[in-house]
Amino acid sequence: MQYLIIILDESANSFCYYPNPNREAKLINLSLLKKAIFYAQKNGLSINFLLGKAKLPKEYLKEIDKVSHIFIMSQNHISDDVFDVFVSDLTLDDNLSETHSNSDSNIILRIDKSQIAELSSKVIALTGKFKRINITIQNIDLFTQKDFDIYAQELEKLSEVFENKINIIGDEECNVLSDRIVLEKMNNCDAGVKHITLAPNGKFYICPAFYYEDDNNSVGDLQNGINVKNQQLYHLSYAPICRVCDAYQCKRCVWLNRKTTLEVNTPSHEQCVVSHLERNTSKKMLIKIQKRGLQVQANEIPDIDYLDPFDKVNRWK
Amino acid sequence: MTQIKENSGSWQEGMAKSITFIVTKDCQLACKYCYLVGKNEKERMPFDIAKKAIDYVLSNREMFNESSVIYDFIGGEPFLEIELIDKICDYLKEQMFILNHPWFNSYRFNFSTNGLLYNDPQVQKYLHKNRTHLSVGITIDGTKRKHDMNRVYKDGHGSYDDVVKNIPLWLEQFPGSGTKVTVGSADLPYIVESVMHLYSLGIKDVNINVVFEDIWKYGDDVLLEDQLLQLADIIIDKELYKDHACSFFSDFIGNPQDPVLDNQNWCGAGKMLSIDAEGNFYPCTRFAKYSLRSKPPIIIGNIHDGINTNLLRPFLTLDRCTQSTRECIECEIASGCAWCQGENYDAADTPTIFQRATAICKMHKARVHANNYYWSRLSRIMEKEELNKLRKESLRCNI
Repeated sequence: MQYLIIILDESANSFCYYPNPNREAKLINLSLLKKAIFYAQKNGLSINFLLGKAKLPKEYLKEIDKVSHIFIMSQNHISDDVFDVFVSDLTLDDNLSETHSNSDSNIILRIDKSQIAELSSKVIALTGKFKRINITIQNIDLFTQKDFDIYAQELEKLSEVFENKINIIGDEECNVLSDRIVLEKMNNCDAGVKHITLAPNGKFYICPAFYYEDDNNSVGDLQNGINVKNQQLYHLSYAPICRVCDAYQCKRCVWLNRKTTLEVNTPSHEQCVVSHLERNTSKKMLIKIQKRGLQVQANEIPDIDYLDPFDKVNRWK
Repeated sequence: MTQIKENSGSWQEGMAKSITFIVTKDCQLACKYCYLVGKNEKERMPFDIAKKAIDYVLSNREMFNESSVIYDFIGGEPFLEIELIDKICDYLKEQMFILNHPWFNSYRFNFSTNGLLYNDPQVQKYLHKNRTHLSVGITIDGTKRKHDMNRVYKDGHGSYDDVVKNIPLWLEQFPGSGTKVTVGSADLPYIVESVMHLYSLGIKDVNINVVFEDIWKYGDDVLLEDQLLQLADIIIDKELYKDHACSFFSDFIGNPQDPVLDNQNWCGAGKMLSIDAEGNFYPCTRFAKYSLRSKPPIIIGNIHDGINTNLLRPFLTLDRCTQSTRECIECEIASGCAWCQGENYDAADTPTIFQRATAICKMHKARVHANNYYWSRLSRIMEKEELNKLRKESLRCNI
């Protein structure tokens, strides 16, 4: 385990695939927060704090300041009291050109599948303002062939922008395009393996999505520690489809996996295809960048004849 | 070469699509080891549901692309619904013909029955009508005392007498058929007498296994091993192995398994399709609500919306090692150690099919010991026969 996510406020917006919980503001109890920070310190974990609508009291900030951390919060709730911000929950309805600019920060852009036709034009409005743009598409599980086609086209348009902006990989990143180019192995979310979440009720969850879906999903508490049953299933080596896959940038979201296939180690067809469209566009982008004569520290991305690695591992076909 | 009879495989040896109609959840019996915990008299499949299921299956050739099909009818006790089954089979035959479906030339109707209604005129009429496309297995557990320990009516009395009277007719109509015997903890001491009894009834193919559920008590493995050692001696001493089979003894069990080459899943859950009275689809009957003690059912679709293929992905990618413990993967006698995917799911610590239940570990080890003994004796006999043959040939040459 490398880091702990602490949900400071029930109203914290989603920064990932799960829907916004739309809950009222309610801060975690201060004594619980102290215990959680102590737990992280003892176990050598860094902390990501999820903030919501509530303004953090000084005594909370004082505790938080004791430990290495980053904040994840909605841009609507940014205050002068917090730094190291990851901004989440931008939607295409927001006026992206007026978004707070912070070239040292990452931005998380959550886009619903119904808005993907606008993806490239909207993302372009954010370029130059942030170190990194993380695109997270909502309702991937409802993608149809038409959505795949639109997403592929939008990735293509985005890649044309990014390939010309990039002189050295790392200058400006967009997760769905640049990550695969620099990765040499899987770099998934790894919820349940590299990080775990503490909710305001003092219980641990695999990730915030599991808490907001059903608070009975807990995997331990501060008093008794973390107890993830069948924890091996969260590891890549126990995922028959993912372990043969080279869409290294895929989040391999275990919550989406469970939602769509009932198993945390098995992705849906839709998640696989979306990740492979990204992979393949990254491959084309890399070739174009290299043709421009730029020295890119990246391995070649091989040709493959599938968009869903399930086709490789279906044991009954 | 010494002749050794092996257990008969199923028709098409696992190559056919298996489609199961759960026609009723009712049964005359209340067998003590039955995994169907939710049997009831209410849930009977309406013909219209079966019809829609058939229409869905036959019109989706891309998804159901096997060259052959086995239509399974199960319950409860399927013969309680013989009228419905007859109607379903007529519709199946009619539709396969009309659609010029390849399955019309390669199909089976398959039944596992408790045998109580086997001689019923309506059942007999059905069997006669479909005789060229039928497989029927009657379950009889052995001697009266073993059978009646578990296979009892709802009021608790044994069903042996009512089953055994139908065995001759069954064997006459389906010569060479085998029976399926289940062994629990209490009836372990009666394995030898039961297998011998079944052979004496003319059943030469005995498929026998211990239950997968976690019911085993301290010392049961010793009891099993003792019984199987006795059984081995009798089968060999009486040379029954030449024309009788007992699935406890097999020459492929008890070896280590390669994590790559021998990595296939044991069962075909997900490859088969099971349909219940409400028109819900399951990867196997064991994932229907009435089969599960502690987990929610896994419904992979229904007759209206079809199959959600995302829900099939775990089943179709499941392999032996991913679901097994390190001890199982490295086990020196792993081959032949079976599992039921539904029981794995039901017994798992989380709702997953990727955690293999190991309740039968000690029982498998006991079986392997006896099996090794059986083959050790048998191979020596074969060796001697070969030697004698060579000696005779050699003598002939010297004369």
